[in-house]
Amino acid sequence: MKRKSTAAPANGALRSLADLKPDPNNANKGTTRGRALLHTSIREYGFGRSVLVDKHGQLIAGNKTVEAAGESGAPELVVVQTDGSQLVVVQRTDLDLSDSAARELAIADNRVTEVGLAWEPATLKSLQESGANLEDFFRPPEWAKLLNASEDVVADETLPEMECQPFEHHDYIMVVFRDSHAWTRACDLLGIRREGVTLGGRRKIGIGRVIGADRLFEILDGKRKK
Amino acid sequence: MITPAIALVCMSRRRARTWPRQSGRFFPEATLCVAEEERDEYHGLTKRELLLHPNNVTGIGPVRQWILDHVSSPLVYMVPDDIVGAYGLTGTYANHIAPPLIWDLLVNTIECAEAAGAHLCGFNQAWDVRKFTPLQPFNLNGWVDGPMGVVGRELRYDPKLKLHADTDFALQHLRKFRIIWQDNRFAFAHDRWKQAGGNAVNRTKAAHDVEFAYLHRKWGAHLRTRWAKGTFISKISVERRQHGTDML
Repeated sequence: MKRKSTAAPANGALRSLADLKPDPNNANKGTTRGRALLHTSIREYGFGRSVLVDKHGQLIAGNKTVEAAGESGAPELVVVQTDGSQLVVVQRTDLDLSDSAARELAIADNRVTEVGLAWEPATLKSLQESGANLEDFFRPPEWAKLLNASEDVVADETLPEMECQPFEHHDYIMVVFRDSHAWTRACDLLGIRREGVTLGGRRKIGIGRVIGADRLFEILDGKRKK
Repeated sequence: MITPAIALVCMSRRRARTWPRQSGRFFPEATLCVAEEERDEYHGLTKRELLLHPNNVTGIGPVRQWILDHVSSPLVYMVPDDIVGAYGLTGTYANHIAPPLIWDLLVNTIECAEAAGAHLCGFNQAWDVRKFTPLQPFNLNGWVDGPMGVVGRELRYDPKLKLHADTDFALQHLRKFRIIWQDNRFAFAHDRWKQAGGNAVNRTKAAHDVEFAYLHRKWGAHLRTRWAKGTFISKISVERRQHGTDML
């Protein structure tokens, strides 16, 4: 058999994330925390690994990565076609292993895999029954333990990055103006302006405005100094 | 592509007959977004050109994302096609709101959201004035559906979710931007789940269950769902206030 590999931009078959089909029989159902860590890793360090698809674009490995990529913006695809005889190397030109970011990515890569793994016993069993040889990957006691494991109650897990962070607090104060002079004076002091709106050709009317705390403190501090 | 400062897009499917007396009454200036195969049915219902999406784009998540991908305005409102009422909830009785005040309300709300650092805004989901809490005119950590505004394009809808994409989208915003902006003083009434058309083609009990299971795996304890009185209730559990500082 003639073996070849070509590195090329996304071809006609695989142009966007939508062309990558998830594996309906993925035996790793994933975990809430794993998904959260994966999001953090992609956001902080970018993509560290490739994903693997079959000749039809069906995902073999990387289902969660593709999910996360879709949610955090659709990255450009680089498709490398190979028959498995060559090792595909992803070279990050922006990273240097002597930098902390590269080291952190190395930890993130392993940790996301570790935390994000949750086998689906029923899927594994069905794969085995359909002829897949899984004996090399699970010793008999491990296999027995896995099939007898109860379902994880993932719904009780919370995501660390969704939690209220130290001192994080979102709140608001409403200020009511009783006459137009007070309103225009406040708009002047706080730098609030009317904005033109193109749809309908009219200008907006005053129903309320929001000003961020940083801007408010900036203005108040400026006034105090005077 | 349409490029006003704020785009107002109404998604509709197989409701050309009811649209003029439902959402069309409240959003006469909206751009209608429908499937290509329904071009003739919706032709002439608004002054604006139709925004036609491919026929195979169906479900909340895919359609909303298609709109965000094909409308270049930085601020986009997406409204459903089953609106039957618009109300202000701050009085003893719900006050009816009509155009052009509705447009002013939409503009003001999305600008408030942007100024507050939120990238997603919407309104009270209950149009019963008795459920309005005067001490909480704005909500910063819930989820919104119905008419909803999106600031920018930093997050994407999950294409797998044809029913509960809005819940997921709000949670994504809470994760990244920490807050959403929900103006509880106003609400839009829907003729929800009673009509043919719309998203009815995707809606089954089994499909709800599949999406809830997926969302629970994805968001864990931050999303609570339950079936009650023949429908489902989704509640987001994301704390955004430090305890003990609510009333100084």
